[in-house]
Amino acid sequence: MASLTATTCYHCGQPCADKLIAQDGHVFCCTGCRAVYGILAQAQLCNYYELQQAPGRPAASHQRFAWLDQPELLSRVADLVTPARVSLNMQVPAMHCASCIWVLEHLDRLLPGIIDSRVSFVEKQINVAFNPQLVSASQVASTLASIGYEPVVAGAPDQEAAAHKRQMRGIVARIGVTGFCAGNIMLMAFPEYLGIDADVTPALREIFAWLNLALSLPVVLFGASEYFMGAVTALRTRRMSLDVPLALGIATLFLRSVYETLTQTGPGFYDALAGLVLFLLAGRWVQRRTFGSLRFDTRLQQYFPIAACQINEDGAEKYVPLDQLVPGDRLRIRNQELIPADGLLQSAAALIDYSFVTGEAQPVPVNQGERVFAGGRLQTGFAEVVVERALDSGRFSRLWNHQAFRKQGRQRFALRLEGVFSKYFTAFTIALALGAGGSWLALGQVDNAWGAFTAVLIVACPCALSLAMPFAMQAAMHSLAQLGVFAKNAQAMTELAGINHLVFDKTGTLTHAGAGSFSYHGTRVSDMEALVASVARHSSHPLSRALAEGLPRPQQWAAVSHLDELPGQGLRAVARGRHIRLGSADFCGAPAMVANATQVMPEAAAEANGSRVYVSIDGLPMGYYELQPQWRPGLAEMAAGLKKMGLGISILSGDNAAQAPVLRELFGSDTELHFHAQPEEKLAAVEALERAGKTVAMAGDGMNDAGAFAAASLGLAIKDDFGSFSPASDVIIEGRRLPQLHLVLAYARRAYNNVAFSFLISLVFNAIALWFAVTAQLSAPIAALLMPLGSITVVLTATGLTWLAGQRLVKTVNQHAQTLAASAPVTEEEKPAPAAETIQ
Amino acid sequence: MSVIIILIILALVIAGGFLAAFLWAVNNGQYDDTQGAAIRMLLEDPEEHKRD
Repeated sequence: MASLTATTCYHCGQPCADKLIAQDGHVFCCTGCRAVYGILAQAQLCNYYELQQAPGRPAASHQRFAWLDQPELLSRVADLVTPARVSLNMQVPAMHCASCIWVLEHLDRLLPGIIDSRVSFVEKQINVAFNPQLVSASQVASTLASIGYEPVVAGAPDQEAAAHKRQMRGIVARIGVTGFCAGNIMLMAFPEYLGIDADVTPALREIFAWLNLALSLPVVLFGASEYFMGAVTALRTRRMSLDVPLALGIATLFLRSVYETLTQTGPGFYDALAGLVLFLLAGRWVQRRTFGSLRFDTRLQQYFPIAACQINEDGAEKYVPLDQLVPGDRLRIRNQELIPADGLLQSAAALIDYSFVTGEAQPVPVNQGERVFAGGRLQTGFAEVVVERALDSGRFSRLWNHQAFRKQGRQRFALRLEGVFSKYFTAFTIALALGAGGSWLALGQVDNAWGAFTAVLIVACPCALSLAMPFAMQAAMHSLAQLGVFAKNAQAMTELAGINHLVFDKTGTLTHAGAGSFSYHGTRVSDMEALVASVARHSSHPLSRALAEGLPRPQQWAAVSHLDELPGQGLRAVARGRHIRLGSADFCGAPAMVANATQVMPEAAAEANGSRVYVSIDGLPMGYYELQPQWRPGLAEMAAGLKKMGLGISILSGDNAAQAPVLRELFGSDTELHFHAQPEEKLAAVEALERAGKTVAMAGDGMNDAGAFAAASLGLAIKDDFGSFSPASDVIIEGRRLPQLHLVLAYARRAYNNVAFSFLISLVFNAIALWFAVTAQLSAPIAALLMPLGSITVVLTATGLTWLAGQRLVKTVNQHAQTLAASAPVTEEEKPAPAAETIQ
Repeated sequence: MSVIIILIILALVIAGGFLAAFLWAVNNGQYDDTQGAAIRMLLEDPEEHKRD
């Protein structure tokens, strides 16, 4: 038996836990990694391992690309389809090093039939040209996947990336032209620099001046065109932007130089003009590249915390993350859940509410075999859907950010600071420029007047405001995503910092949605458990899920029809010809039972501290299931942490008041508790708090209290398995992360403070630079250099500080979670293990 | 000394030719991926092993 030393896998670098798989003198952590090594070794591609240590990624599960072989689909995604050659672009997010480039560009050795493959490292794209008669598109994609470079084939051309590429090319071309002109202008300005006597050939000075004017035309008309167009747009839409003062500065220099040349009063400022535009363009290019790569990373690594319930061949269910769905997958959609991908309806006719996608409130009936679209909400019953087209991240993000879910009303916390600052900054800059120029003129120093005027216009930079906030927030979102906290967008992230009151739902939020024991009290009927389980599994309510998971799986699922869920009351359906109702006592017609139970079984009433789901069959109440809540660990510490931050807490529950003592112990006796709260009451409670001026975050399911969610400033959806998704939520938090909520909120505040701090740095920088500009000590090209330097520094500071704090948070939270798990009481699952050991 | 005018014009024309080539290269996408090229030029092909 191999000794358990800390060996790492030759392919992916992960530690080899207990399995040591050896081949050719190397050790691998799993058969997947060994398989990739085998493929590469056979194709003489082992140089892959020479270029970088452990370059591989841990093997992912096999994905199907069969749909690529359908001609209509292939022609939509490929850029060239001819009988002898097909050219296909694919995204390969796993590309990260020199080895990757090497192996990806030597694919022809791996799969004969591939003519050529070329990588664009910055965009993480590969372009593969192959002969369709020798090899198919799906084989190409599968080969890539089999060596660990899972390709993503875009359904539609990526508009955003194409636009970004065009933009960057435009800037590079402009830099080239401006640089060319600037160099030549400076050559011709040499005699001026060196003070060569013009008496030798007086005509030369004039000729050089005119040549310079000619050379400055491409600079102003082509190189600086973006600034002029931006300024015109800004003036037309009456919104100040940075382009206005810059365009003013460039125009001033140019016009002054032309005037001097025409009237032969001086050499003009062509060299300063060309240098200015060159540095401005270079700064803009660096900015766009830096920010572009930041944005790029976040987009590709966006964690979509949504999973779909996939049914595989033998009927078993498994949750699969949304971005791993492929055409052909069978999915189960529960009542009120969103359909995660375009597909065909396999089960009986259903009613789908497309208001999220089309805005129409009227649900649309869909028959078996017809197409359903992603984003629709299942109104009746349940559905089985076969995926036709998976939802790509861009479309999903657009759905989540749909106009329908924008919170109207009060001025958002985030925008207040930004709005005030940017509105006045540019106006202030122009006023200052005019003032400085005017003062110098009054003193009789015309040259200084021009110098001060242009320098002020160019060096003032409010970039921190519009850039630092989104980028720092994206860095924060990235760090939080690693912990299982997903914010909808940068604005939601900022709002987290402004919360001063939290409202918690009880069931499913403070308690685990599924786990916990339950007991049945009442009359039993032969197949009641099968019926209840069959009905409950189609609902996404936490109590239904608990029942569905806890009850034993029946021999045969009962066919369920006419499924209807009434929020706040219960679930009703027809199964095996019987009307089944699950829910509150009133809903199941069982108030009499409650009274009886207390009389007949007083001890049961004394222990009545769980949630109750009553059951009625064909109108007759049979009994109830009592579900003991399983509280999440660490709630007391979380509550204390939240209170220390100054947050108010309220708890709303649709359940009975049996848990009040426990809640009071966890949250303190001064916390507001409301029980038996129907959805309308929850909404009213949240609205009342908001009206009282508080910024409320509602932490709940998102599905059963959607109204309250929308009314709160921020909706936090606490999810244990991500099966159901409410687009009205602003932040999705994994259930296991709830005990660390106070740490997350503290971090959000710190991120916001970092941005505010970067505003301060920007102000100081601007003040110093403007001082030099006003006193005419700053020349235009230097000003052009300083401006982008300043903005990049400010943005990188805000983003860097936030990212560092984020990594510290990840460590702290993981440690916290570990200590919580270590001190947790022994759960049911752990008990069998000791028994097994004694047998051996 | 006035020959310098002719020289300057000539120089500008030749340099302009290079500028045109640069603009063509940008349009051809050669400046899109600045990192890949830097890595690619250092990669070597391994020696071909004798195959059985």
